[in-house]
Amino acid sequence: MVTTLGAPPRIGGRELPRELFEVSGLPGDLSGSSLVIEFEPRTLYTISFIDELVFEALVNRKCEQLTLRGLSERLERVATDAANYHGVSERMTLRS
Amino acid sequence: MSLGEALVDAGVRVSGLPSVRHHDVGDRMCELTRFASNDQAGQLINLVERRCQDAGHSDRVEETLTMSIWELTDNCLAHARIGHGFLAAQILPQPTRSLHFAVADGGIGIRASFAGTQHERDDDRSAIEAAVESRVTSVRDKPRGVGLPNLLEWVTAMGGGLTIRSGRAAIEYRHQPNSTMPRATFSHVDAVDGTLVAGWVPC
Repeated sequence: MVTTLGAPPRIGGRELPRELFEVSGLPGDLSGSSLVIEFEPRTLYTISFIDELVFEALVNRKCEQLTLRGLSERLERVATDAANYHGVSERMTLRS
Repeated sequence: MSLGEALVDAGVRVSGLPSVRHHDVGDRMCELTRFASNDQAGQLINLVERRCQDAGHSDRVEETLTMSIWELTDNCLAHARIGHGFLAAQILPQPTRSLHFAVADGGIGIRASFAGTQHERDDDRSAIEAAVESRVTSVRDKPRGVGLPNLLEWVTAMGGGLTIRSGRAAIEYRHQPNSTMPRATFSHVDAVDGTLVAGWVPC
């Protein structure tokens, strides 16, 4: 199953990923699921939000495949660093 | 801004300030503002973001400024153990047009925030040096500690600088030509309570 979510249209930190998943009604265990998150080009997202999003989706909720679409180049690096740090980089894809 | 009122709000005893006529400083954005929650910090960031857009700053400047303010205010609320801090932002036209920002608190300071954790340090200098390392945080058992290292990299890569002052130490980080690592300059300073992080980027 592939679920596509829009990133929240407001600035926020580490609380925002859990809020996003809960509001979207996603289960706590995403094993076997793929998740696509789309980022708006004119909306600002924080380093903490991106770092926590990778952790929450791939580590906490065990999502099989996470695709992040539309991040700025610098935030793509934050996401890549987070995935590398948690050892889950093979389950994350970045798209422009 | 009304400096007297802002200082009183910051807990400073003020007397003898001359009375001056208030005037609009336009896009220079000189403000000293107290924040006590992420929501309040978010409102300030939205204000700064609008000012950046009105002034026609590049997306990169806007992203760097708003990101810096968010991460620094968040750090203050999470680690300073005082519950509030102060933010100021201003555009200075000389010597080159640049956008300056500062976030300060009167909390426990960086070294004390690491006390009792695996990142505990013996002096203020090494505590500041640890704070800019990736994945070093005073929050136990959480994979955090990425905000400050990233924004330091962003600010210096743009040709700007960042100064962190806590306890008796201050370290200024600047862009270093032909290197991906910023140049760090350490100074002994008079002791301050809490932490001050001040940065600037060309705009």
